[in-house]
Amino acid sequence: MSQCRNLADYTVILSEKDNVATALVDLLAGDYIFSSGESGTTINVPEDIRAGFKIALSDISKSKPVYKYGYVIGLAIADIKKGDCVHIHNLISSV
Amino acid sequence: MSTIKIKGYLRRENLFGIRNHIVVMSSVSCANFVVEQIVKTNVDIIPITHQHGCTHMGADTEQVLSTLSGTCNNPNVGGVLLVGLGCESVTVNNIASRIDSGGKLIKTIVIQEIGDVRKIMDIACDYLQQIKEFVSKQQRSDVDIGSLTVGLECGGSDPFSGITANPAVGLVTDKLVELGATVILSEIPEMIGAESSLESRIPDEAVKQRIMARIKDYIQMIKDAGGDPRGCNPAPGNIKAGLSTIEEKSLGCIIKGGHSNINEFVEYGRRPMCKGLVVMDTPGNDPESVTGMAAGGANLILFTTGTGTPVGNPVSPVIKISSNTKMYQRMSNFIDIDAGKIIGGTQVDAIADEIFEFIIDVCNGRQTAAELNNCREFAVNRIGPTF
Repeated sequence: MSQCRNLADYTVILSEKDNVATALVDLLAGDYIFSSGESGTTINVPEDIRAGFKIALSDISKSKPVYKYGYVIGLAIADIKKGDCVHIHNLISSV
Repeated sequence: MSTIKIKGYLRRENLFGIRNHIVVMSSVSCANFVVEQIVKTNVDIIPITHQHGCTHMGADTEQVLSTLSGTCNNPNVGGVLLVGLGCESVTVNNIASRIDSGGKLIKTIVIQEIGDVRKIMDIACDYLQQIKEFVSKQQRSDVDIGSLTVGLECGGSDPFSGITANPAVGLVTDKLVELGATVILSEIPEMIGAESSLESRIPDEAVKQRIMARIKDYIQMIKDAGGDPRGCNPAPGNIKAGLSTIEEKSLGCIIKGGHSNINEFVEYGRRPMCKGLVVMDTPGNDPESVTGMAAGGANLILFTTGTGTPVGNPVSPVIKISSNTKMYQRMSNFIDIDAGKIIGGTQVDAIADEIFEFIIDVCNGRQTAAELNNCREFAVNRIGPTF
């Protein structure tokens, strides 16, 4: 059943450039189908992500930029795996 | 000229108030007691007390003076009683001389000149009676909605602010600008990280340079204070809700400003000269930022919030818009409109229409949640030390 869940039903991606989505409702751990363009891939979410928190849409290497709203919102301070929650434990302001 | 009319009090040509407040203000904190006594027997007046008015200097004194006088000058104010001590640096006469007396009655009392406490209260009550009579004769007339000045604020942002409440307010901003109104985007530190999104919308090179320089000033202040803005901005509550960095908060925050060009950079608490969208130099601190915009003449404030806040203003009605329904339900008597419905499928346009209709109602006399709760925070953004 978890295989049927579509990430788009639970999250919003604010710009095509973004490598994170924002959870609109609490997102339970498990597999989600992520459709990008014509192709669909599976994203495994290892831990529950609370509404409002960010989920990585792709692997983001340490010190690489995180994009939301189409702009850089900070740099990864650890290797972030696709499906991970992105917050202050792995993201820092680049100001 | 738009065809949308509201009810307003004419102060002078093209300047209208949507309230007819009587303000009793201390010029210095030493006079707060008299203001507090007066309000005990006059519940219909707006008391304004504060911690300032003396032992500051230079540009900081100017900032205090222009904020105090600007607040009295707000077109929502119909009468003013100023209470001073007598030996302070910001005197009642300093303030009174900056208030445009068009459509207003201004009276002053100085504690040291009168001396006796009973006499002070008697004179204050007599002056208040005169002000009440003056204000009661003022009539409301039909006013073009384009004559409004509207301030924008967000406080206690959460990740939904940039998805629900702020985009809805952004559409309202676009509409107000189109109708000829002035809309103030505030909170310079909440533009950090959003520079490139703002820059392309500032046609005047000098205005652009001033705004960008001011954002840089704030970045420098963060660095001078230890280098990591976390714990300050985003505030702990923002982080708990899911906002990670100042850039993320800023990018969600400026969406309130819609898509119009930015025409002017306005100093804190000063009145905008341009119509359309302008930026005011205010800090992220909500009471200080709202106070600055109200002192700059904002008739009302659109205030979005994710974690919920009661903050209002003494003279400018604050319309509170929640970014999520959970908080709205928990704090419904502090909030006017729930933009969190957007998460459940309501269109952003529909919430924008709801906000716009609410603005018209508030102009015509409907009380906002902040007004009903007597939320009247007043805080001056000081730029120097107290000696």
